[in-house]
Amino acid sequence: MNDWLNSLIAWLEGTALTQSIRDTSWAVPLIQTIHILSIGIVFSSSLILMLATFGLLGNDWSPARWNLRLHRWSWGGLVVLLVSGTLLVVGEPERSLTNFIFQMKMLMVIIAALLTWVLSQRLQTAHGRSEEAGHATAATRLLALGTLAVWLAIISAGRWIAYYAG
Amino acid sequence: MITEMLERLGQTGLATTISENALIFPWLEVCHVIAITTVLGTIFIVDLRLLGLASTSLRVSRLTRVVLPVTWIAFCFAALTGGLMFLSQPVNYFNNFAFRMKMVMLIAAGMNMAMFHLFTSRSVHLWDEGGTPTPAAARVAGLVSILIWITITGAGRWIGFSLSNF
Repeated sequence: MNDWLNSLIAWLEGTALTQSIRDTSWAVPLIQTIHILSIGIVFSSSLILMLATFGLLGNDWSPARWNLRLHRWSWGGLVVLLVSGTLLVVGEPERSLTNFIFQMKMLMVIIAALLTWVLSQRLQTAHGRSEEAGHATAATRLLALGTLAVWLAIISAGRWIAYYAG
Repeated sequence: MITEMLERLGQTGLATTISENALIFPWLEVCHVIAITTVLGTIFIVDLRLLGLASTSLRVSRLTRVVLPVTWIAFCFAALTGGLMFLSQPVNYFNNFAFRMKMVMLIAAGMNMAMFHLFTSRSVHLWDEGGTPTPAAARVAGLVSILIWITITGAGRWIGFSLSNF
């Protein structure tokens, strides 16, 4: 694993993209800004869905209807997150790839994406059955809460990468 | 005189605790990022409705009633954590261009919102229903809000790259 990682880092260090990100003073802050904006979209969508499943967003829209409104934004936001995140890694391969918190963060991103997909599928199925569209089951609420918790951990890990060397 | 006041502020017990403890500042940053991503995502939901681009089947007045309380709670949390981060080195933040820019943009965001609530939203009953186009003033308010919050995010990130730590 380490050999493979080290050769990947060595290869990335030599690429033109890594060099241009390093040579452009505004590149990293700009990419990080885009990264935060997309976290804003993904995290808020997760938060709104959680609140909706717990019946905390009024009764105009069912959780399933909120999911219909937000799921494309969640996935779009996730794509922008991955692209901007990849660029940040390419800019500083060694600092990120060998960082334990970064590795944990990537694992959690996979879990969050899976949970987001399962939750979205559950709510879409509920949308088809009108009798269940109005309120979410306990399992759906738990899933929404769990998804939100993983996103919270991901955001925390993201900030801590900068402070943790190793 | 302002510099003296800020210097004294930076010498208070709370300020030195924040600047000297290795864990407090990163955790404040984590909380600040969580708060600001919530503000961004939820305010964009409202702005996109004002622009007539999303959630158009939900009444504007209902959407703002269920979503904006979340935005406000998150905003208070962002202001609190941001204030504590400011306390760690008040003079440096005050003299930082990106920080001043962020504060000016926050005032601009407040003015844009105040204008909308004082004037534009008075006629909301005329364009509240889903499917009714929002007036130009509401669309401008939504677009301006999105642009201002993107700038605030960028300025916030720029502070981290331009603030001298001493």
